[in-house]
Amino acid sequence: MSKKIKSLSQFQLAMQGFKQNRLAVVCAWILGIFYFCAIFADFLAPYSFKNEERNYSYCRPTVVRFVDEGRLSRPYVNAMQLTFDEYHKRVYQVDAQKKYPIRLFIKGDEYKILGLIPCSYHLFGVEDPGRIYLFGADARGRDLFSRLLYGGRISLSIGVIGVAISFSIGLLLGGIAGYYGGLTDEIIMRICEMMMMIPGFYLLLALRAAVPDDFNSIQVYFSIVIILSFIGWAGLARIIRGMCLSLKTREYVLAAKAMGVSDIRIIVHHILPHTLSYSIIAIMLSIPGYILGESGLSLLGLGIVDPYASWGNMLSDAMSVVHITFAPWILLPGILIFITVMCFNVIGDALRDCLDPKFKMEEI
Amino acid sequence: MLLELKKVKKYFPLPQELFQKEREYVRAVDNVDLTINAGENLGLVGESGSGKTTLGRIILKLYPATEGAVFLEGKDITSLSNKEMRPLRKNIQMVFQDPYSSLDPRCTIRNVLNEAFVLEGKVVFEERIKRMKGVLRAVGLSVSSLDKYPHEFSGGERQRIAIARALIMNPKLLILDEAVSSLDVLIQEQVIDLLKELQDKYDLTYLFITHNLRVVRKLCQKIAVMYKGKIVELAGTEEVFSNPIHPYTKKLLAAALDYKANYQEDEFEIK
Repeated sequence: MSKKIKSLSQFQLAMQGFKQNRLAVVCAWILGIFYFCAIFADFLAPYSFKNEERNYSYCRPTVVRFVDEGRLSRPYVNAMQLTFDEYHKRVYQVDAQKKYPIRLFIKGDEYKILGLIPCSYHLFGVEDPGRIYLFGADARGRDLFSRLLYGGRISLSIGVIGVAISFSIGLLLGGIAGYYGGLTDEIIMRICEMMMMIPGFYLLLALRAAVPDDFNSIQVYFSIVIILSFIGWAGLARIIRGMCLSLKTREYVLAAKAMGVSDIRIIVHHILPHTLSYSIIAIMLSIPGYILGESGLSLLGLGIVDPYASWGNMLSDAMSVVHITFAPWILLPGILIFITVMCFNVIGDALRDCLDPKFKMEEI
Repeated sequence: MLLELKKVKKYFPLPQELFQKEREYVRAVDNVDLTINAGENLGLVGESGSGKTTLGRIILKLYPATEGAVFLEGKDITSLSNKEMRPLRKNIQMVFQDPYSSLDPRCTIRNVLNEAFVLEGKVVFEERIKRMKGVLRAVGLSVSSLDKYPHEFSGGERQRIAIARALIMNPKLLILDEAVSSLDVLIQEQVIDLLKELQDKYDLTYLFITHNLRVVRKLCQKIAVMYKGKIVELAGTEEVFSNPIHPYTKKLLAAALDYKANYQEDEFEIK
C-alpha cells in the first residue's frame, strides 16, 4: 500500500509559497492577459495599427449601445459626425440614425497569423463606413485600442528578449569570473565597471546615435533590444561573480571536480543554478527597466517610429497638455506601462519572499 | 605502492602589506613524505588547522602543490594538466566532511551519480542504471532513493550517498575527510562497519583524515600524526597507541582517550 510520493525540489517547494500570495497571483494573471493580447494582437484588434481615418482625429471613445428604441438589441454603435463649435473646437456628435451592429469574426485589414498564415478575420468590428473606437482615436484617427495591442507587442517583448540576452551574458561572464578568479576575474570585472560608470540613459542615447538612422523598423527594434541588453548585463555579472566566489568552495563543487567534471559543466550545473533564486528576482525586477528604457527612447522619437506602435511612442502624443485636456485617453499607454511595471515589481517581491529563506526568517 | 608523496609543500600567500619586503605565507603543508600501499589503510590524524585536509585536497589535485610531487602508482600527477589528469581522476575519490554541503541540493541522487559517467563518456543507459543501483545497494540504501533530493535524507544517509558517489567511479584510493565526524556516535559506528565491508568488496584503500582517534584504531593499519603542516609521527596503529614517541602525539592521545601519558607539561607546549 505504498503511495507514490513525488519528490519536490526546493525550488518547487518555494513556488508553492508563491501561490499563497494572492496579489502576486493576480499580477501574474494580468501580465498573462497582457502577453496573450500582445501575441494575438492582429486578431483581437479591430483595425491594423496603421489604419487611419483623418476625419476622426481624436475621436472620443465610442459608446457601445445595447438598447435600441427601448428594446434590447444586439450591441451596436452610432455613427459620429465631426462638427465645429463656436470656438472652432472639434466636437463629435452622435448620429442616432446611423447604426452599425458589432459583428464577430468580421473581415477587415489583412494580417498574418503569427507572421505565417495570411488571414483577414478579426474578433469583432463594425462594417464600413462605421468606426469603432473602444478607447478613442489618436491624432490621425487610428484606433487607440488596436494600437495599444500592437504596441504591447513591442513594449512587452523588448523586456523579455532584452533580459534574456543580458542575463545570459551576465550569468555566464559572472560565473566565469567568479569561478576562475585571478586575471580572468580582473579583466571581466574592470570591463563591467567601465560599463557601469556611464550613466545608463546617456549610454543608451550614445549607443542609439551610433546606430544608422536609415534602419527599418525591425532593425531599429533589434538594435534597441541589443543596446538595452548591452547596458544591463554588467550589474548582474558583478553580483553573480560575488556569489560564485562563495559557491565554488562548496564541497559538492569540489566533489564534482574530483570526479573529473569539466569546469564549464560545473559552472552551468552546480554553480549557476544556485544563483537562480537571486537571478529570478533580479530578472523580474529588471524587466520594467527595459520597458521603461524603450518607452523613454520612443518617447524622444529615437526608438520605434510612426506608423509602428509602441507604448512609448504612443505616449509621445501625450506630451502636449492641450492634447491631454482635449483627449485624455491618449494617456492610456502610460497607464498600461504603469500597470505592467507594477505587476513585475509585485511578482519580483513575492518571489523574493518565497525564494529567499533568510528573508522569511527575519519576518518571524 | 599506490600513492607516494615526496616533499609536498603547500604555502598559501598572505595578503601583502604596503612596504613589506617579503611576502608571508601560511605553511599549510610543509615537506610531507608519505606512502600508502594498496590495501593498507592510513589514518591521518591532527588537530584542526594542522593541514590534513589540505593534504587530502592536494592528493586529489583540487589545489596545486607549491612544491614536491605526488605519485599515483608510480606516475607523477603533479605536473599533469587538468585535461591529462581527468582520466586518472577515477582512481582517487573523496568523501567530504559535511554530508549537508557535499551533495548539491538541486540534484536528485540520480543526477549526482550520473556525473560519474560524464568522465567515462558513452555508457549505455541500462549499464548506468545497473551500476547506480549496485552502489546504492552496496551502501545500504534502497533503489527508490534514486529520484529523491538530498534534503529528503538524514545525515547518515547522505554520507552513504556521498560514499556511493565515490564508489561508482571504482576508485583505488578513497580519501575520507572527516567522513564520520559530523555524524552521531551510533551512525558513526554503522558507517565504519560499512566502510570495512566495502573495502573487501571493492578492493579499496582508505586514507582516513580525522581528529577522532577511536575511529582510526578500528579502521587503519597505520597512523600518521600531523602537526603544523608536518608529519611528526608515522607508525603502525597499535604502536602509536602503545608507545607514542612525539610529545604532540602523546598529548593528542591523552586528550582523546583519557590516555595516561607520562609527559611533563613544560616539555612540550602547543602554541
